[in-house]
Amino acid sequence: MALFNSEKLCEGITMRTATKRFLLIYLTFIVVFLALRAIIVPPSFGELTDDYTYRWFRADSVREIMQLDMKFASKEMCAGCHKDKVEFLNRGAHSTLSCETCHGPSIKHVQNPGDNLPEIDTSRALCKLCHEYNPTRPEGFPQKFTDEHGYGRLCVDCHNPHSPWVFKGGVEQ
Amino acid sequence: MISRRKLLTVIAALAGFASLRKTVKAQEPTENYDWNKHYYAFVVDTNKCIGCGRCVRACKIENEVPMLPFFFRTWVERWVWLEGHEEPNVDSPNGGFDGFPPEYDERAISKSYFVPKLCNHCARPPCVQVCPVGATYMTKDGVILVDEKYCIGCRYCIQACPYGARYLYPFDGPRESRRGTADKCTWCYHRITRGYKPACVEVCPTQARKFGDLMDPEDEIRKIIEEERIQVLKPEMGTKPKVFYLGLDSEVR
Repeated sequence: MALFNSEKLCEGITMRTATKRFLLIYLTFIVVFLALRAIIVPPSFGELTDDYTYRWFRADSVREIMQLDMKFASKEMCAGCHKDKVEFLNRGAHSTLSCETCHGPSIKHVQNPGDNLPEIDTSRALCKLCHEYNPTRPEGFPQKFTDEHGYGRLCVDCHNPHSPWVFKGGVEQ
Repeated sequence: MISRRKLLTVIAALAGFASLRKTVKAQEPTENYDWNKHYYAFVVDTNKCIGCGRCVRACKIENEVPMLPFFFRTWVERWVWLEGHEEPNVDSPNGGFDGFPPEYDERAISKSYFVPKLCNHCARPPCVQVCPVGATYMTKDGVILVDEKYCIGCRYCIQACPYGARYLYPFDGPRESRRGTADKCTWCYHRITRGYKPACVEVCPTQARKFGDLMDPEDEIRKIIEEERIQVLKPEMGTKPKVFYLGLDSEVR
């Protein structure tokens, strides 16, 4: 900044007023540019950058995205409390399913088990999503769902949804 | 008219303020997460997909994607080859959100399969190269993200993506900060960095979708990519996708 107090600085040197003024304006522009750039470019821009083709970004954006809320929990989280249910599920034909495949997003239930109970959808429509006959489905996948099968009763009236080959009434197949 | 001294003081003050702002750092979300130690990949087994659409629903809930058709981070396509036809029929009613109603006569179909699609998280992403403001980028663990605060909604990346994986978040969407910006699959970055699976992988009932870390020698994904016959979408684009398909038909693009 001392540079701009030009009167004293230039005492010994003879500099024409026009040159002096030009230099001053030039330097002012540089300072203004640097100041504006410092304000406009976000603080964390380029912080984690090592590749300007694919990794030129605001580092805080990564942190913001990492901090987003989860809506779904995971099967392991469910097993923390409902160990018996998950073990039973893992023994049956529905072993590859996650609890939340049918019960829906449940992280709120994990955080606060009293409230926010996960949905229990016993409708035929839910079973139909996977088990309706569709020629596009892979061969061998059980596609038994028809309007005749069960005569319109709920699937869960007979099948245990956690292990479909265990039937209500104690019959196992 | 301001004096020169005053102007200089103002500039100095602004510069000082800017340098102060630089010291403000966001809080680290997961203290133990080191992105240099992970490199993720995704495997889709088209032989197992039953087209139930639970993945589409889970993705929309987890990532606050508008519940309307045409906005998808992941979707499922039905490819049907009818006898005597040269070209396949491809449809995706509501992205597969409500499942696929049987539409074709079974006797007329010669082959048919479901193809789940999502962002391929290319190792050489064209969408990142075209972004004029540095709002989309690749993380060290190989995920392509969008900075919703710096995206200006110019749609270049949506045009550049050969897989159609991006969409413009609508102005009446549920998440206010994301309105009018490009949005895409993040492989549920907020979940995977905490050690969980992406929502679509979590809910897939047949394990047609698999997610894993290539840097983990014990990971199932690594074994599949090393040992199985895999295929990617549009290899001729040179984008080097990291979503690998098992049992993919050569016509699928």
